[in-house]
Amino acid sequence: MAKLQELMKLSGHQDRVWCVAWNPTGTLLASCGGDKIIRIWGKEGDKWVCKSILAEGHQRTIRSVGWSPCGNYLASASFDATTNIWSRKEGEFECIASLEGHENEVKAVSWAPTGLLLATCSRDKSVWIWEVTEDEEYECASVISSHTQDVKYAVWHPTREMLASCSYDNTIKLFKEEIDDWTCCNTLESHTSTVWKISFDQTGHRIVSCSDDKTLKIWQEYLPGNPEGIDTIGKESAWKCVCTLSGYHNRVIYDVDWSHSNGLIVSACGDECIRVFREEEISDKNQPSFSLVCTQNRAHSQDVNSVAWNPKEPGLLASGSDDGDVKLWEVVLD
Amino acid sequence: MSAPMWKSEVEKYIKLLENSAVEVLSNGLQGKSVSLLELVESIGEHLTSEDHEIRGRVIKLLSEVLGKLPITVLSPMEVKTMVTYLCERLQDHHSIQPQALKGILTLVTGNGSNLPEGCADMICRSIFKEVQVQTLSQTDRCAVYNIYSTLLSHKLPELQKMGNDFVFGFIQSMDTEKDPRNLLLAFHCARTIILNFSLGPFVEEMFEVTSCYFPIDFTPPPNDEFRITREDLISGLRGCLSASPEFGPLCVPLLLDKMQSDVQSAILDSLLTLAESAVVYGSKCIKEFQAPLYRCIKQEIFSPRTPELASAAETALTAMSAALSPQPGLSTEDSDVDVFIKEVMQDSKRHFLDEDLRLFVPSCRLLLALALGSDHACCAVVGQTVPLLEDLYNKFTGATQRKQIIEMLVKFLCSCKTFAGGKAPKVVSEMISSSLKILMSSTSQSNGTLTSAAVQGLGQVLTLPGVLTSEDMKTSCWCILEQVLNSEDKLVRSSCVEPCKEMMKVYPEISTEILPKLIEKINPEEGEAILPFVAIFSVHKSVISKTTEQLLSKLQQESQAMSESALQTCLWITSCLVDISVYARGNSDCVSVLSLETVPAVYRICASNAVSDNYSDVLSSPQVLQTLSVFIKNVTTLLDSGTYARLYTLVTKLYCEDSNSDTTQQKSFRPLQVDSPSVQTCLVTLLTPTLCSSPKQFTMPDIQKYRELLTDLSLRSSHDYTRSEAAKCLAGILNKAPDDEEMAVYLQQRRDFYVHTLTSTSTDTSCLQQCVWVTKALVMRGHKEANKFVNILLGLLDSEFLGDRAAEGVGVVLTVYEDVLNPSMHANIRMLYKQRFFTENSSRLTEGFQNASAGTKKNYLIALSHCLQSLPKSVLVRELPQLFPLLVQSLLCDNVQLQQSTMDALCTMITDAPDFLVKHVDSVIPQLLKLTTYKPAMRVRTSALRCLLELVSLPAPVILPYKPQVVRSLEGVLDDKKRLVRLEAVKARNEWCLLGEPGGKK
Amino acid sequence: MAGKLDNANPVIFEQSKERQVLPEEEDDDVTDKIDDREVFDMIRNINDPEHPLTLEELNVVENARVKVDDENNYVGIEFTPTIPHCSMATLIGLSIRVKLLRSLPPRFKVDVSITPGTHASEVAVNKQLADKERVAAALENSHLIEVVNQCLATRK
Repeated sequence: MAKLQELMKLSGHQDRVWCVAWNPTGTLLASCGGDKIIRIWGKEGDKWVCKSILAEGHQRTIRSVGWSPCGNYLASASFDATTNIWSRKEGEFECIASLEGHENEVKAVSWAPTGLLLATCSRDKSVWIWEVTEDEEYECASVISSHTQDVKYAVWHPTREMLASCSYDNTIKLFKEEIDDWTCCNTLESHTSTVWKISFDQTGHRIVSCSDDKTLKIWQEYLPGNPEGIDTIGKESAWKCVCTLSGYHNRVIYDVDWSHSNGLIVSACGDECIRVFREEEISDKNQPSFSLVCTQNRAHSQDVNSVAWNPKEPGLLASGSDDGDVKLWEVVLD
Repeated sequence: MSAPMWKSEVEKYIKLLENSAVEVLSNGLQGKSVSLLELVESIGEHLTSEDHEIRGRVIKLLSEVLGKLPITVLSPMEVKTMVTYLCERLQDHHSIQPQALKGILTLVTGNGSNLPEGCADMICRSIFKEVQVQTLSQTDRCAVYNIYSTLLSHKLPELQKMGNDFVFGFIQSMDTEKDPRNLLLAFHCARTIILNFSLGPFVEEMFEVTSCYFPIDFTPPPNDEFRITREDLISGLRGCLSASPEFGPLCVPLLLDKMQSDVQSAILDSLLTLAESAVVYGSKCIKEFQAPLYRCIKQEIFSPRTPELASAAETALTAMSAALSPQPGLSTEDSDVDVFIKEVMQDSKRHFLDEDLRLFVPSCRLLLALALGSDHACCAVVGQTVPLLEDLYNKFTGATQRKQIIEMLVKFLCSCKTFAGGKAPKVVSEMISSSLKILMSSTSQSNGTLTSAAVQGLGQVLTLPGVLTSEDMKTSCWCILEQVLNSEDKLVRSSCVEPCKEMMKVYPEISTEILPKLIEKINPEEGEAILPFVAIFSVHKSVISKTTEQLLSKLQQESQAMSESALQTCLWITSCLVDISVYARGNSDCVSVLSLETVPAVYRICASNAVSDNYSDVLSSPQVLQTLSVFIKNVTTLLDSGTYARLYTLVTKLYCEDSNSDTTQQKSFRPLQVDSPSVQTCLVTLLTPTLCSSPKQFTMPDIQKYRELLTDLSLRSSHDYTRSEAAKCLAGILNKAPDDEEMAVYLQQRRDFYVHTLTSTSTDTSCLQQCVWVTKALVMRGHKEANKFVNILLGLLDSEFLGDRAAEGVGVVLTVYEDVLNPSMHANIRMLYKQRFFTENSSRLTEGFQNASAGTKKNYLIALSHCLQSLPKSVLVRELPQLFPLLVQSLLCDNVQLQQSTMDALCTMITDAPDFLVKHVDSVIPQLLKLTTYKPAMRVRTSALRCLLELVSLPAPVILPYKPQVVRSLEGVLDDKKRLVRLEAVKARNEWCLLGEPGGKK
Repeated sequence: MAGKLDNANPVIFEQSKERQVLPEEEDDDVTDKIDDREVFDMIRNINDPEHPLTLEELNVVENARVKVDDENNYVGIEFTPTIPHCSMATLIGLSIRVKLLRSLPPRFKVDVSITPGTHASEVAVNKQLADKERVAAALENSHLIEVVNQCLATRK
C-alpha cells in the first residue's frame, strides 16, 4: 500500500484556488483562482515559497493557467472572457498579450507540444485555436463549435497535433486539422453528466476522464486495422471506453492527472479527498483493471479543484482547493 | 430728544455706519418725542436719491422701526398712511421691494384684524400689480405668502369683496413655486381661498396650480433644519384638492392615472386623496368614474402589494360609498350606492363560490369597506351578505374554512357599531339569531382554532348596541362560559379572556352566577386556567367581597396541604388577587372593599400563620410574599389620605405593638424584633407596600420607632431575606421622612457608623447593603446629605472584598424598582436625579478607574456602566464620546455583565451618535470580532454579533474597508456550538455580505 | 406592475410560527446541532423574484424538504416552483445557494434541486444549480447578483 504525505501547505490566496500547474522542468508551480491573482511558487532551500505574484491581469476569476513547453511563457484563462500570455524572458513575468474573442468565461488554456499553437475553450461552447507568430503575436486560427454546451477543458495530445476537449454536454471530443480547418474527428460518449477534465497517458493512446457522475473512465485508442477488430472509419482511430472506476468517489470529480513518469492517476474530488490509482500488473489492454492505491481523506478542508503531477519528480503532487490553499504531497510507497 | 439727534442717527444708518437708529427711533416714536410724520418727511429726502441702495436702506430702516413698535403706538390713521406709503414703494426699483414687503408684513401681522379698512385691498392689489413674486428670493416670497395668509385669517371679508381679482392674483403669485417651505404656506392659503371664495372662471387654473405638484415627491435634505416632511406637504396639498366639489371632474382622472402607475407612493397618495375628497366631490362625480376607480381599488385589495396600500384602498372605497349614499331623510330606494353595492355583490358572489375560498377574504374586505360608508350602505351590505355567509358556512365543513367565514361574519355584524344611532343595528338585530346559532355551534365541533374564533366572535357581538335580546345575551354568555369552565385547550381558554371582560361591561349580573362555579374549580389541576377568570368576574361591588373572602380561605387551605403543588396553587391564587387589584382601578366601590376588608384579612392570615405551631412554609415563602406585596401595593397606592390612615393604624398596631391579633396562640407576633423567628420577620415584605405608599400629605406618627426597628433589623437579623427586605422598607420611609432634627441626628449617626464600619478591608455585606439603600433614598429625594453617603459608597469601589458589591450598589441606587421607591407609591423624587448623579460623579469614576489597581478597575467600569444605563438616550449620546475609551476597556474586561451592557451602549451610539463612532470604528471592530468567539459566555458572543449587525448602518465608505475581514471572521462563528449565537452570526454576516454589492445596501 | 406575471394570483400559505427557544439552547455547556428547521429558517424568508411574498408563503420551500445531516456535513434542499413552467426556477435556486453560502459553515456540502416532478425543465435546472463553476461565474455577473441580492434583502 501507499500513502500521501503532505509536504507543505502554501497559503496566500484570498479566495478559492481553481488550478495548479507545474512548469515543464518541475521547478515552478503556478496557481490561480477567485482572487484574480496568479501565484508562482518555487523552492528555496527546503521550502517552497511564493516567488512571484501576477496581479491586475484579469478583472474576474482566473480559472486556469498553463505553461508553454519551453517554460518561458504562462497563459491564464479567465471568467472575464480573455486569455493572457505572460512572458518571463526579461526576468520578471510580464503580460505581453491578451487574447479576446470568446463571448463569455474562458475555462482552460493549453499549449501544443510544438509551442506554436494554443487552445482555449469557453462557456460559449466553442474551442479556439491560436497560432503563435514569429514576433510573438497571437492570431486566431480557428473557432470550433462542435460541443452543444460549455466546454470545460481542452488539452493537446502529448506528441501529435491533436486536441481533446470535454464538456457540460457529457462528451469528449477530439479535433484534428483536416485540409484547411480543424474538425472534430471523434466524439467519446459514455459519461452520464458533465465531463470536467481529461488527461492523456504518456503514450497518447489512452485518455482518463473525470465527471460529475462521480466516475473516472479510461479510453483506449484503436488504430485503423487494429487486431482487436474494432471498427474504424477511414483513416481515423476509434476510441472506446475500456474501464470505468465507480464507487470510489462520493461527489463530483473536478480534476484528474495521468503521470507520464510512473503511470499513476490522481483525482481531485468534491468530497475533499485526493485519490491515487494504478493499473494492475496483470491487466488486459482491452479491459484494464485499475486499483485504488491510496486515499487522502480531508486532503483539504473544502472541495479539491485541481491536482497535478510534477513532470520531473515522480510521486510529487500539487493540489489546489476551495479553501484557498495549495498543498504539496509525496506518494510514499510502502 | 432734539430733532437733529435722531436725524443724525438716520444718517448713520443710511451710510451703513451703525444700526442704533432703529432703537433710537422706535423709542422715540413710543415716547412720542418723534412723530411719524417727521420721520417720514426726513426719510422722504433720501427717497429721492438716485442710488437705489440708499432708497433701499431707508425703507429697511422704516421696516425695522415698525417691527420694534408695539401695536398701540401708531394710530389707525398712521397705520393706513404707512401702508399706503409702503405700497407706493413697491413701484420702486426691484431691490427695494423686499424691504417694503417686510414692512408691510410687519404692519399686517402686528395689526391683525385691526388693520384699517381698505388696507388689505390696497396691499394685495399693489403686490399683484407691481411684484413678480416668483422672481423674488425664497425668504421674500415667503413674506408675500405670509402676508396673504395673515390677511386671509383676519381680513377675509375685505378680500372676499375683491372676488376674482384676488383669486387670480394669488394663482399668479403661486405659479411655479418650488420651495417646500413656501409651498406649505401656499397650500394653506389656497385651501382657505378655495373654501371661502367662489373661484368663478378660475376653477381650472386654481386646480392646475395646485395639482401640478401631485403626487408629492420630496426627500428632505440631510440635516434639514426646517424639518419639513413629505407628509406635511402631502397633507397640505390634499387639503387643497379636497376642498372644492368643482375639482371633482378635474381631479378624479388625475387620481385614476396615478393609481395605475408603478410607484407605490403615488398610488398610496392617490387613494388617500380620493378618500378625503370623495364626499366633497359628490355622488355625481364619483358615479361617473365609478367603474375604473372600482377596478383599481379591487386590484389593490385582491393583489395587495403592501398592507398599507390595501388599507388605503379600503378607506377610499368607504369614502366612495359615503359619497354615493343618499342624504339622510331622502328616498332610499335604488340610490346610487345601492347600484354600486349590487355590482360589487355580483362580483363577489363568484368568489364566494370558489372551492378553495381563495378570494373570499379580499371580497369580504371590499364589501366591508362599502358597508362602512354610511348607515344606508351598511344596512344594504349587511342585509345581503350575512345570509350569504350563513349559507357558505353550511356549505363548507372544514374547520379552517369555517373559521375564516365566521371571522368575516362577525366583522360584518360589528360594522353596525359605527352607526349606533341609525338603522344598521336594527337590521343586524333582525338577523342575529341565525348568526348566533352558527357561532355557538362552532364551539362544539372539537376544533380548538374554530372554537377560539367563535368565542372571540361572540365576545365582540355581545357589545353591539341594542342588538341582542336579553335571552340571546344569556345564551351567548353561557356558551363562552362553557368553554371557560370545561375546555381543555389552553388556546381556547385564553381566547375567552377578552370576551369575558366585555361580558362584564354589558352584563355584570352574570358574575353572581358564574363565580361559584369558578371557585369550585380552584385546585392544583385547573387553578391556573380558572383563576384569571375569577379575577375578571370579581370586580363588581356585588361580588367582590365574597369572592376575595373565598379566595383567601382557599389560600389558607391550599397552603396547609403537604403537596408539591401547594406553592404553585397559592401563587396562582395570589396572582388572581393581583389581577383583581389591577382591574379594580377606577372602581371606587371595589377599591373600598379591598382596602377595608381584603388587605387587612391578608395581614391577619399571614400573621396568624407566622405564630402558629404548624406554620406553612408556603405562606412565608418569598414568592408568595412578594405577590401579596404587589396586591397590597396596588390597593394602597389608590387610597385617599383618610382611608390610608386607617390602614396604616391597623398595620402599625399589628406590627409594632407587642400583642397579637389571635388570642388563642401562645406566641406573640413581633415581626420587627431582631430575635424573632424568620417566619415572622420575613413578613416585613408585607409592611413595605403599606408603609411606603403613604400619600404626600401624610405624616407618619411612628416614624422614629420604625426607623430604629428597621435599621436594627436590616443589620442584625440572622435571616438574609429579612435583612434585605428591611433595608428596602427603611429606604422607603427615609425617602419621605420630614427633614427635621431627628432626621439630621439619625443621618449623622448612620454616616459615622458606615465610615467606621465600612473600611477598605471590611467584609460587612449587611452594612453595605443598608448603606446602599439609605443612599438610594437620599439620592432620589435630592437630600442635602446625599452626596456624603455617595462618597462612602464610591470610596469602597477600591476595596478588595466589597468593591464589586459597591459597584452593584450604584446600580441599585439608579434602578427603579416595582416594590419600593417608585412614583406610583408617591415616592419623593427629585427631577433628573439620575442625571445629576451622573454629572456629579462621572469624573470621579473616570479618575478612579485610571488610578485603580488591575483587580478593581472593573468596579469603576461597572459603576459607570450602571450610570450610563440609567440616562435618557439624548443625554447618553452626548456623554458617550468622552467615555468612549472606557467603553473599549470594558469590552476587554472579563465580566459578562459589563461587556454586555457596554455593547448595548455601543449599539445606542451606532443608532444615535453615528458621527462619533465613525471616527473610532477601527478600535471597535477588531474587539467586537474577538468577542464573537468569547468561549465562556454565549451572551457575550450574541451581543457582539448584534453590535456588528448595527454597525452596518454606518456610512458605507467608513465600514466597507472592514468588510473582507468581518466576513471572513464571521465564517467561523457560523459554526458556533450554540444555535442562538449562530442565528445572530447568520444575520450579521448576511448584512455585511450585502455591503457594497449591487442590490444591497445603498 | 410592469409586464405580465407568470402566476398572477398565487395561493398564499401561512407562515410557520417562530421557533421556540428551549432551555438547553441557553445553556452554555450544551452543543446544539444544526438541524432541518435551522436551515429552513435561513431560506424561508427569501423573497420571490416576482411577488412581494416569501418562498415560504408561496410554499416554494418547506421544512419537510430540507434535509440536514450535521455529523456528515450534508444539506439537501428540494424546492417547488409555483408552476411547472416557472421561468424563475434557476434564479430561485441560485438565491437559495447564495443565502446558504453566506449562512452555513463551509464544511457543509449543499445540494439544491427542484422537487422531482414539479417542473418541466427540472433536469436542466438541477444540472445548472449543481455546477459549481457555472454558479461562481453567474455570481460575478453584477446584474444577476443585483437581482439575487434583492431577493435576499430582508423585508422590514
